[in-house]
Amino acid sequence: MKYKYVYLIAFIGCFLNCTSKKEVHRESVVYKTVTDSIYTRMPGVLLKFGNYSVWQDPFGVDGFIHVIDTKTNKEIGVMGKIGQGPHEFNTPAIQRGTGNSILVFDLNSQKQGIFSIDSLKLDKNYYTPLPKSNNHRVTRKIQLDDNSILSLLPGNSMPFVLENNDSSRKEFGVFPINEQINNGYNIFQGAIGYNKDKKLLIYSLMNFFSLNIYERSDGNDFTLKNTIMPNINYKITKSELVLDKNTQIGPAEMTLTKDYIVTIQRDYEKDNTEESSVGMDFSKNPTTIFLYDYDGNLIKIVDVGIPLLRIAGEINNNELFAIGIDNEFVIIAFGI
Amino acid sequence: MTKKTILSGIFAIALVAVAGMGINRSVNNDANLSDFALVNVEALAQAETGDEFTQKTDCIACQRDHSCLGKDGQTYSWAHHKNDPSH
Repeated sequence: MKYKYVYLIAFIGCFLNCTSKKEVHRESVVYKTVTDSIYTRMPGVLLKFGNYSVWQDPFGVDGFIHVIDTKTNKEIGVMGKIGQGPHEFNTPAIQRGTGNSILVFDLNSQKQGIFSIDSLKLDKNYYTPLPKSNNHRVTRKIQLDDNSILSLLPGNSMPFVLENNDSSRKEFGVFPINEQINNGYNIFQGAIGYNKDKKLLIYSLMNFFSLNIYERSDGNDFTLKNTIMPNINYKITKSELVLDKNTQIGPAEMTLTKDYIVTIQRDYEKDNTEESSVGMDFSKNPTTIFLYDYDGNLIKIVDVGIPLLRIAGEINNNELFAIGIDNEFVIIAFGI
Repeated sequence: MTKKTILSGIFAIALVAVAGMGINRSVNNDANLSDFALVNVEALAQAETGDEFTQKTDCIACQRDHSCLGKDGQTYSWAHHKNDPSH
């Protein structure tokens, strides 16, 4: 008889544990405005290098990389020109390099190079060209270390290409939807980030939610450790993947911090803004960031209290910079 | 005027003409590439009113860090394809 109760309690406990939905912790944060001197129609990529905030001006023909010292809230300089000169780029895409450097590649040529913040500060030559690389259909590119650059090619049969200084080249990875399609370039675009301390590569898709975590073993071998993705409804028409119209859009922005994978995502339980109504109306952007651990578990949702356009962190702390919309574009800073 | 002088003159004119053609081609290429870069910048500047950009490329400017393969063979940043089913 005594054991019957024990079994009953154990059964109820297990049942409740298995069926109860885990509540996501929600909190708000107080931010500090770093600068409101973001004079552009739309800021591009935002990066964080310690106290330096780097933002891209896609319209900046005479300077598309702006570097701001967030201690003094002053711009220390501008780098990069749009054009055909040896140090210029026609359609520049910028991402994090190693150390205090920015990797820039051209979407329409084989040109790529490194812009050094440290050299800019010292008023030295800040540009170092890198060997030419095939950038055709590359949408993102990051430096993993001084020897290797990783590219995302969403239209390829495998998403990643790793190129090393010794000219070796390796393709790897799988797309979260395994179908032979012709429009993978449009479907599978997303953000990539690398945490060298944890040896983890994160690939977050933009068009639907899918967080893919790859583990790097010694050398250049990457293994898919985890994919977090809800059921996605789609159909294949004329070899093209068409997402169901009710598919929730994925995060526009993803960055990595010491403890979290951070995305700008709308909290649909609190904010029912129709995504199709947003367009270029930045005031309708989400005010929330989602914090996932490096296993892909959603830990908490943080309301920053301002519509967010860009987010930037770094892997040695949990401080963030963001570009928000407070009548005009502002760079803000806060901790998580 | 000797035959030698006439031949030297023709050679010099030909040389100048060929060099001129090369310079002209180079200048035109630069102009096209600059125009192309500005198309991307202008498309972004015009945002949702970039009808001309869309007609020319099949791409639509957007606020996401998304790239679009234009029907003109060029890749445009901060844009998505008009037939992209996810937008």
